[in-house]
Amino acid sequence: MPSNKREKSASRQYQEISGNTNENETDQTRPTTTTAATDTKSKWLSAHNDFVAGINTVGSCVELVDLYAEGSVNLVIADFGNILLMPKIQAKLKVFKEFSLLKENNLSDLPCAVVACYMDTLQPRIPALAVASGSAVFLFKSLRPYYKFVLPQMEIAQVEKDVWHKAREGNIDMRAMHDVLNDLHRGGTVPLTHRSLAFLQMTNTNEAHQFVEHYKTIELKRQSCITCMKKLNKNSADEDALNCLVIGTEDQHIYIIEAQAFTIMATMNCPATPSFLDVSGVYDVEFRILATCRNGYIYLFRRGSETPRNAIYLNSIAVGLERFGKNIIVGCMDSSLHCYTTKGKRYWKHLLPAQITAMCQIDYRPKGFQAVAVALANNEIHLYKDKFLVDVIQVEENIYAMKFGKLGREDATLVMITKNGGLLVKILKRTATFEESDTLHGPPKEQQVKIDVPKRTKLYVDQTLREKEQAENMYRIFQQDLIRLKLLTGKEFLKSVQAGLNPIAKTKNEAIRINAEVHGLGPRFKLTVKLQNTSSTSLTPIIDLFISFTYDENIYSLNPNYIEIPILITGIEYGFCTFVTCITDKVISDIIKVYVCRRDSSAPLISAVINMPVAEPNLSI
Amino acid sequence: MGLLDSFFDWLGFGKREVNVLVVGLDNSGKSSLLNYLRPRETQTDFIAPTVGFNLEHFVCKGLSFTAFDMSGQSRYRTLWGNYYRTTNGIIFVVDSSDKTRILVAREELQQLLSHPDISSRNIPIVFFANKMDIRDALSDVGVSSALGLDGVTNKSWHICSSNALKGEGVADGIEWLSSAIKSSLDQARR
Repeated sequence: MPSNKREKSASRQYQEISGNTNENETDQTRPTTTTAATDTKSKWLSAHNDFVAGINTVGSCVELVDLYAEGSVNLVIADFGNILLMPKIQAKLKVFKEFSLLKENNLSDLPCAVVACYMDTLQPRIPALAVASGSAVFLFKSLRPYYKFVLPQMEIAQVEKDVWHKAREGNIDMRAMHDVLNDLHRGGTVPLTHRSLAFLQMTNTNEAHQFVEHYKTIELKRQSCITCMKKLNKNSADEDALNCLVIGTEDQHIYIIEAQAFTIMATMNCPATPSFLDVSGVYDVEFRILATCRNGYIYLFRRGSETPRNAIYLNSIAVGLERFGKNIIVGCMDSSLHCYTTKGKRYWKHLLPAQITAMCQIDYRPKGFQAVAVALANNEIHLYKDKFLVDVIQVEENIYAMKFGKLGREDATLVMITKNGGLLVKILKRTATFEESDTLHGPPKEQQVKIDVPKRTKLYVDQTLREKEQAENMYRIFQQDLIRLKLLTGKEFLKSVQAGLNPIAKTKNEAIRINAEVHGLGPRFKLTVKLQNTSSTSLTPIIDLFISFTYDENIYSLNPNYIEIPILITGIEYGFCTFVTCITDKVISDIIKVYVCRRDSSAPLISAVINMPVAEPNLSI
Repeated sequence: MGLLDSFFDWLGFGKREVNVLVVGLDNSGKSSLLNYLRPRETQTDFIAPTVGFNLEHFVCKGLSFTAFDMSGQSRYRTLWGNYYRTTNGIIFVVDSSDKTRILVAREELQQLLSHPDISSRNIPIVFFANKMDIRDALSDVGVSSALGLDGVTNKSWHICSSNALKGEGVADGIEWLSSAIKSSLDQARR
């Protein structure tokens, strides 16, 4: 924990920076290309499309804030300028009113976050702008440079200090200096300063010499860089209450800084470098800080503890973090969107059709509409309410930064910055409704409906208890019965095969199908027996068969009652007829059994049972 | 009958009562406009955002107007629809300096025109392109094209730029509205 004294020296008044910050008050109005033809189906009005605004920024550098406390919200953007012109830095802090640039300030380094925070208790409530860049936070009050907060210095290896001290006194040569620093760097116990690292990278001796000459008199410092910044309310949950700044740094710390006197109130040790923060709560009461880190974890910090309470492992590196109450929504580099609870349980995961380029939270209080907007590389913006995809906005270019909130006097605007520097503004229609019907992802809504399960009765409870206790026994009995059933079935089948009782005879190489029909009304019937050789394995015809009948001789007489069967060729159906005469005068019927037998075997090959109809009486005229 | 009526009108008795609805987005100057129409002694300097609606009375060209000054805040805009049935004319106020939300005003106008109580009747609409004193405000022609008024064919409408604080252009618009309401009432009687 660095001492208070050191901070004081590090955070000096912003005098020297304001020298190179030239303010150019501009009031230029760009030609706006407002699309008059608005899509009636869309939920958004395309209020402003300026594809040549020349803004190059990311989501954390866009802020919507009422800078003059006049009820009209300004758009504040920390613009990177043209990156291609590096190392010349053109970064600017731009303030827009409506869609025209109101004012811009030069920044000395590339910004990484802009936060509007209240740092006094004066009325009217005019917020200050905090711009994090490099190792410092620059504060702008009424758009004028006001204060610079510098991160505490870090420890420098004594050897390195000595080397530079000797260099200043001039009693070390380049080669020795290079060797010592290189050994130190290889050793890897204490990281070197940026100056030494830059020195080690130089290959040209002349250049290195100039470098040392230029820097040897300046005090050696090692400072971290800010990676992310958010604000936290200090002692009240009101929207315009006093804020603190929460800063994540490259050296794996999270600092909470009071915005009135710029003292570090709390320091937290993050296991990795944080890349995105989400802060909720009030500093004096209870707060939570969620930090997604470059090692693919989300860490949860709470008041009073320097180390994280919870860690959630993501399968990929996070590219965006939003929180709704206790739900954390994280977009990852593998184009997936996850929802976790703060306890680390995953609710859902969506695989998106393209890479995520920007994310922002949509919180439209008047309608109670909360969603997360995810801009994708296929020029779409998906709106997820809970896990449902409720809207897709088509845009013309890739969106690199988004922010939803109040702009001007309109409550629900979505500000977007495109890849090529365009500024787009869409306004949510008042009549827009978002239905939670999603055909793209997940189960239908009906599945969410809870089934009305009746109350458990005593019988049910007893039964389940019994099942639990006697599970083994029950299983054994069931298996026994099953095996017994199988055995019985097998036995019966064997019996029928042996007796030739089934209509399809199947011996080793012969298969015959029998089909018997009775024609006529009686007392004289015609009985047709059809046989077919269905054996598919062998094409050899079946020979030496005959048909015989068994019947009650008191009731029927058959002519003939014995039929010789000629050769049966595979596949062809043969018909054999016999005439049945009912010789009784009683109105009864009986069965006739038909047997197909082989001449050399006593058991029939197949048999059929024919239920004879009741014969009409013999009409003798 | 008509002769007797116009005689009464001329005498100033039996002023016909008409209802007009004053709508427009929040901060467009509806209450300020009606404030200017009040008698000199009852005008106020401080106009607060309207909640719900206010009632105002004024007289113009032999018509006694009851103006429903609706709130323009987005959460109260759903109330507008409740008064469409009984209204004889509409005053639509637009903040011509607010380029961000002129599209929102257009959207609200489309909704108003497509409402069943409005679309079936010939109701005169007067548009005030308000706040014309602000430097980079749109002209009345600019507002007219931004609102897409060329597409409004089945209503009689009129647009005039105004400054509700000073009262410039307000009287013109109200006079046009009175004559338009009169002619539409006469038409309805015939």
